[in-house]
Amino acid sequence: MKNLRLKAARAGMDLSQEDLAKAVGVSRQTISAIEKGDYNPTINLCISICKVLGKTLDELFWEE
Amino acid sequence: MNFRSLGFIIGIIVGIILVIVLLKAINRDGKMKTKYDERQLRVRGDAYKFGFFAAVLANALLLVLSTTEYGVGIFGYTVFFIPIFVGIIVQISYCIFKDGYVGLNTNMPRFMISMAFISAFNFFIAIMAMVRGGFIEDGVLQAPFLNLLCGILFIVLAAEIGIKMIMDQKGE
Repeated sequence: MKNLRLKAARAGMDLSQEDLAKAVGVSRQTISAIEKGDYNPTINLCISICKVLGKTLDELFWEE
Repeated sequence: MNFRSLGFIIGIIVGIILVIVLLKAINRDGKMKTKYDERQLRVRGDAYKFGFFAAVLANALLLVLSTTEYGVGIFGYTVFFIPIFVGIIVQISYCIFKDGYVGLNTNMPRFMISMAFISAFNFFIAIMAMVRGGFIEDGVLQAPFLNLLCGILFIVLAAEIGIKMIMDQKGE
Protein backbone atom coordinates (compact mmCIF):
# COMPACT_ATOMS: atom_id res chain seq x y z
CA MET A 1 0.00 0.00 0.00
CA LYS A 2 1.32 3.44 -0.96
CA ASN A 3 2.39 5.70 1.86
CA LEU A 4 0.89 8.97 0.68
CA ARG A 5 1.13 10.53 4.14
CA LEU A 6 4.90 10.20 4.08
CA LYS A 7 5.05 11.69 0.59
CA ALA A 8 2.80 14.58 1.65
CA ALA A 9 4.81 15.25 4.82
CA ARG A 10 8.05 15.25 2.84
CA ALA A 11 6.65 17.54 0.17
CA GLY A 12 5.21 19.75 2.94
CA MET A 13 8.71 20.37 4.21
CA ASP A 14 9.90 21.01 0.64
CA LEU A 15 12.25 18.03 0.76
CA SER A 16 13.11 15.85 -2.20
CA GLN A 17 13.45 12.09 -1.81
CA GLU A 18 17.20 12.61 -2.06
CA ASP A 19 17.16 15.21 0.76
CA LEU A 20 15.18 12.97 3.07
CA ALA A 21 17.35 9.96 2.19
CA LYS A 22 20.52 11.89 3.09
CA ALA A 23 18.99 13.13 6.33
CA VAL A 24 18.15 9.61 7.52
CA GLY A 25 21.19 7.87 5.99
CA VAL A 26 19.58 5.68 3.34
CA SER A 27 19.49 5.64 -0.46
CA ARG A 28 16.94 7.67 -2.45
CA GLN A 29 15.58 4.40 -3.83
CA THR A 30 14.76 3.23 -0.30
CA ILE A 31 12.64 6.34 0.37
CA SER A 32 10.98 5.82 -3.02
CA ALA A 33 10.27 2.16 -2.16
CA ILE A 34 8.71 3.14 1.20
CA GLU A 35 6.48 5.74 -0.46
CA LYS A 36 5.41 3.27 -3.13
CA GLY A 37 4.69 0.64 -0.47
CA ASP A 38 7.29 -1.73 -1.91
CA TYR A 39 9.34 -1.85 1.29
CA ASN A 40 8.40 -2.01 4.96
CA PRO A 41 11.05 -0.06 6.90
CA THR A 42 12.36 -1.16 10.29
CA ILE A 43 11.15 0.71 13.35
CA ASN A 44 14.54 2.45 13.62
CA LEU A 45 14.22 3.89 10.12
CA CYS A 46 10.58 4.88 10.77
CA ILE A 47 11.68 6.78 13.88
CA SER A 48 14.49 8.53 11.97
CA ILE A 49 12.06 9.61 9.25
CA CYS A 50 9.54 10.84 11.83
CA LYS A 51 12.22 12.90 13.60
CA VAL A 52 13.33 14.56 10.36
CA LEU A 53 9.75 15.30 9.27
CA GLY A 54 8.54 16.32 12.74
CA LYS A 55 5.73 13.76 12.76
CA THR A 56 4.77 10.86 15.00
CA LEU A 57 4.89 7.20 14.02
CA ASP A 58 1.08 7.10 14.07
CA GLU A 59 0.82 10.06 11.72
CA LEU A 60 3.11 8.56 9.11
CA PHE A 61 2.98 4.80 9.45
CA TRP A 62 -0.16 3.65 11.28
CA GLU A 63 -2.74 2.22 8.94
CA GLU A 64 -6.35 2.79 9.99
CA MET B 1 54.57 -26.44 -8.26
CA ASN B 2 54.49 -25.77 -11.99
CA PHE B 3 54.59 -22.44 -13.80
CA ARG B 4 50.81 -22.37 -14.40
CA SER B 5 49.95 -22.93 -10.70
CA LEU B 6 52.39 -20.20 -9.69
CA GLY B 7 50.80 -17.90 -12.27
CA PHE B 8 47.34 -18.55 -10.80
CA ILE B 9 48.54 -17.84 -7.24
CA ILE B 10 50.24 -14.59 -8.31
CA GLY B 11 47.13 -13.63 -10.29
CA ILE B 12 44.88 -14.18 -7.27
CA ILE B 13 47.20 -12.15 -4.97
CA VAL B 14 47.41 -9.28 -7.50
CA GLY B 15 43.61 -9.46 -7.89
CA ILE B 16 43.05 -9.15 -4.12
CA ILE B 17 45.44 -6.17 -3.89
CA LEU B 18 43.74 -4.53 -6.88
CA VAL B 19 40.29 -5.01 -5.31
CA ILE B 20 41.47 -3.39 -2.03
CA VAL B 21 42.97 -0.40 -3.90
CA LEU B 22 39.88 0.00 -6.10
CA LEU B 23 37.45 -0.24 -3.16
CA LYS B 24 39.31 2.54 -1.36
CA ALA B 25 39.33 4.61 -4.55
CA ILE B 26 35.65 4.23 -5.46
CA ASN B 27 34.30 4.94 -1.97
CA ARG B 28 33.86 8.65 -1.26
CA ASP B 29 35.03 8.32 2.36
CA GLY B 30 38.21 6.46 1.32
CA LYS B 31 37.18 3.40 3.36
CA MET B 32 37.32 -0.12 2.02
CA LYS B 33 33.88 -1.05 3.28
CA THR B 34 30.97 -0.03 1.09
CA LYS B 35 27.98 1.15 3.12
CA TYR B 36 24.44 -0.04 2.40
CA ASP B 37 21.14 0.82 4.03
CA GLU B 38 18.79 -1.75 5.57
CA ARG B 39 16.77 -2.33 2.37
CA GLN B 40 19.91 -2.74 0.29
CA LEU B 41 21.33 -5.27 2.77
CA ARG B 42 18.13 -7.29 2.47
CA VAL B 43 18.27 -7.13 -1.33
CA ARG B 44 21.89 -8.23 -1.26
CA GLY B 45 21.00 -11.17 1.00
CA ASP B 46 18.38 -12.31 -1.53
CA ALA B 47 20.86 -11.75 -4.36
CA TYR B 48 23.48 -13.96 -2.71
CA LYS B 49 20.84 -16.68 -2.29
CA PHE B 50 19.83 -16.54 -5.98
CA GLY B 51 23.48 -16.35 -7.06
CA PHE B 52 24.29 -19.41 -4.95
CA PHE B 53 21.43 -21.46 -6.42
CA ALA B 54 22.33 -20.33 -9.96
CA ALA B 55 25.94 -21.46 -9.40
CA VAL B 56 24.78 -24.83 -8.02
CA LEU B 57 22.43 -25.30 -10.99
CA ALA B 58 25.14 -24.36 -13.49
CA ASN B 59 27.51 -26.77 -11.77
CA ALA B 60 24.93 -29.56 -11.92
CA LEU B 61 24.29 -28.93 -15.64
CA LEU B 62 28.01 -28.97 -16.38
CA LEU B 63 28.37 -32.19 -14.36
CA VAL B 64 25.66 -33.81 -16.49
CA LEU B 65 27.34 -32.47 -19.64
CA SER B 66 30.69 -33.91 -18.54
CA THR B 67 29.15 -37.41 -18.31
CA THR B 68 27.93 -37.30 -21.92
CA GLU B 69 30.03 -38.18 -24.95
CA TYR B 70 30.69 -34.46 -25.46
CA GLY B 71 32.41 -34.04 -22.07
CA VAL B 72 33.54 -30.54 -21.16
CA GLY B 73 35.22 -30.34 -24.58
CA ILE B 74 37.07 -27.15 -25.31
CA PHE B 75 36.54 -25.73 -21.79
CA GLY B 76 38.99 -28.09 -20.05
CA TYR B 77 39.85 -26.91 -16.53
CA THR B 78 38.27 -23.49 -17.16
CA VAL B 79 34.91 -25.23 -16.78
CA PHE B 80 35.31 -24.89 -12.99
CA PHE B 81 34.97 -21.12 -13.31
CA ILE B 82 31.78 -21.06 -15.37
CA PRO B 83 29.41 -21.72 -12.40
CA ILE B 84 31.25 -18.99 -10.48
CA PHE B 85 30.66 -16.50 -13.30
CA VAL B 86 27.01 -17.56 -13.59
CA GLY B 87 26.53 -17.07 -9.83
CA ILE B 88 28.25 -13.68 -9.89
CA ILE B 89 26.19 -12.43 -12.87
CA VAL B 90 22.92 -13.50 -11.21
CA GLN B 91 23.93 -11.90 -7.89
CA ILE B 92 25.05 -8.63 -9.46
CA SER B 93 22.09 -8.40 -11.87
CA TYR B 94 19.56 -8.93 -9.07
CA CYS B 95 21.32 -6.30 -6.94
CA ILE B 96 21.41 -3.75 -9.76
CA PHE B 97 17.75 -4.07 -10.72
CA LYS B 98 16.62 -4.03 -7.07
CA ASP B 99 18.82 -0.98 -6.25
CA GLY B 100 21.12 -2.87 -3.94
CA TYR B 101 24.37 -2.66 -5.87
CA VAL B 102 25.56 0.92 -5.56
CA GLY B 103 26.47 1.74 -1.98
CA LEU B 104 25.68 4.90 -0.03
CA ASN B 105 29.33 6.00 -0.14
CA THR B 106 30.07 4.97 -3.74
CA ASN B 107 31.55 7.57 -6.07
CA MET B 108 29.72 6.65 -9.31
CA PRO B 109 32.08 8.31 -11.84
CA ARG B 110 35.11 6.63 -10.24
CA PHE B 111 33.17 3.37 -10.03
CA MET B 112 32.33 3.43 -13.75
CA ILE B 113 35.91 4.36 -14.68
CA SER B 114 37.23 1.48 -12.55
CA MET B 115 34.88 -0.97 -14.26
CA ALA B 116 35.93 0.26 -17.70
CA PHE B 117 39.60 -0.08 -16.70
CA ILE B 118 39.17 -3.63 -15.34
CA SER B 119 37.18 -4.65 -18.40
CA ALA B 120 39.74 -3.18 -20.83
CA PHE B 121 42.63 -4.75 -18.88
CA ASN B 122 41.06 -8.21 -19.07
CA PHE B 123 40.18 -7.85 -22.76
CA PHE B 124 43.76 -6.76 -23.43
CA ILE B 125 45.18 -9.92 -21.80
CA ALA B 126 42.70 -12.14 -23.69
CA ILE B 127 43.36 -10.46 -27.05
CA MET B 128 47.13 -10.59 -26.55
CA ALA B 129 46.85 -14.33 -25.84
CA MET B 130 44.73 -14.78 -28.98
CA VAL B 131 47.34 -12.93 -31.09
CA ARG B 132 50.48 -14.37 -29.54
CA GLY B 133 49.07 -17.81 -28.80
CA GLY B 134 48.19 -19.36 -25.48
CA PHE B 135 44.44 -18.78 -25.63
CA ILE B 136 43.84 -22.35 -26.76
CA GLU B 137 46.40 -25.12 -26.30
CA ASP B 138 45.86 -28.69 -27.51
CA GLY B 139 42.24 -27.81 -28.28
CA VAL B 140 41.55 -26.66 -24.72
CA LEU B 141 40.89 -23.09 -23.56
CA GLN B 142 43.53 -21.66 -21.24
CA ALA B 143 43.59 -19.05 -18.45
CA PRO B 144 43.19 -16.02 -20.80
CA PHE B 145 39.68 -17.33 -21.51
CA LEU B 146 38.89 -16.38 -17.90
CA ASN B 147 40.14 -12.85 -18.66
CA LEU B 148 37.73 -12.76 -21.60
CA LEU B 149 34.89 -13.83 -19.28
CA CYS B 150 35.90 -11.10 -16.79
CA GLY B 151 35.91 -8.49 -19.55
CA ILE B 152 32.44 -9.59 -20.68
CA LEU B 153 31.21 -9.66 -17.07
CA PHE B 154 32.17 -6.02 -16.48
CA ILE B 155 30.63 -4.89 -19.78
CA VAL B 156 27.38 -6.67 -18.84
CA LEU B 157 27.57 -5.00 -15.43
CA ALA B 158 28.07 -1.53 -16.93
CA ALA B 159 25.25 -2.10 -19.43
CA GLU B 160 22.87 -3.19 -16.65
CA ILE B 161 23.73 -0.12 -14.56
CA GLY B 162 23.09 2.07 -17.64
CA ILE B 163 19.72 0.39 -18.31
CA LYS B 164 18.73 0.78 -14.65
CA MET B 165 19.65 4.49 -14.70
CA ILE B 166 17.47 5.00 -17.80
CA MET B 167 14.62 3.05 -16.16
CA ASP B 168 14.92 5.23 -13.02
CA GLN B 169 14.87 8.45 -15.07
CA LYS B 170 11.72 7.32 -16.88
CA GLY B 171 10.09 6.31 -13.59
CA GLU B 172 10.67 9.66 -11.86
